[in-house]
Amino acid sequence: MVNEFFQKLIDETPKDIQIFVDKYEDITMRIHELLNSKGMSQKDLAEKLNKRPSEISKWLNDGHNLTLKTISKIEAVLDEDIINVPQIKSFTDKEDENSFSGETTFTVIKNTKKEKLVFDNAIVISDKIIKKRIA
Amino acid sequence: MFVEVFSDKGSKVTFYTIRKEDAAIFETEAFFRNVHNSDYKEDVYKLTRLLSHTIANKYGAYDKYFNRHEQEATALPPKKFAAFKNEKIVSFAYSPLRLYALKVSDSIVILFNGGLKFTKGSAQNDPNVSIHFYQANEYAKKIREAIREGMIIVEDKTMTDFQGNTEILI
Repeated sequence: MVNEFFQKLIDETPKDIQIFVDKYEDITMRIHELLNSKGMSQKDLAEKLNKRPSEISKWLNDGHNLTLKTISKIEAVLDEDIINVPQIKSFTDKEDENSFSGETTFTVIKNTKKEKLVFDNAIVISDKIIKKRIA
Repeated sequence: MFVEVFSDKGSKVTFYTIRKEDAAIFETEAFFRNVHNSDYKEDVYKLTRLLSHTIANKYGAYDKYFNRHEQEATALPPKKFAAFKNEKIVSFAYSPLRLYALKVSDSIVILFNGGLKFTKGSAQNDPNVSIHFYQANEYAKKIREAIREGMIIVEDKTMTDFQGNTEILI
């Protein structure tokens, strides 16, 4: 069971706040885990981060929330990743998926009349452009 | 007073609360109803998410969430994470919310009442939360004693009295 009023709060919590709490807790938990695995305390980390007062001053004065700079600094001190951003497949990668391996030349045909064209070893890029391998 | 389940939906933690005899609502519900109508609604939602997801389902009652020690009890939300102490606004950095709690185990947390603490001094002297601070400490002390004496049985995610009742009279 869940208390009815508590369930109401759970249901009405905005999505962005849920994401913020989740990300923040994941980041701090990740740092905790890294500190534990390296036998370091939070104090050790704070001391290491405080080595350069000019940088701390920047953190204090730049007016941002939890900054990527701070996280980067901690990543540097711990020599570990804290945040991993999923890589977006580049356009080049998509092209590579469609390419033939080995040394190959292509003829690119613009099928403006939208005729039905049939080739061996061809790749349809759009309804107008076809890549055809020349053997 | 009775100790009763507040939320047992989480896979890792069951939250209990206090129901005073003759009271219409739980102590923790009274807290949420009170602060929900304040100017700190965003903090209320953050605390809700922390309890209902982060603690209940993801990490359990990890010690770092119970780092605001108030004698026998603790207060939520947790203090700022030390590594980010110089950051201006992080999570609950400056939240006046205080929900008193007792962590019984990694899987059981008892939530009490609380309020909004605006003064800088100790909770005992704050006009809004001092009563809840004293009550939380009294509850926490009684519950600890009951567990120690075998009047409350703690097993995994559940607590019962020595007769197996889930509504525990203290």
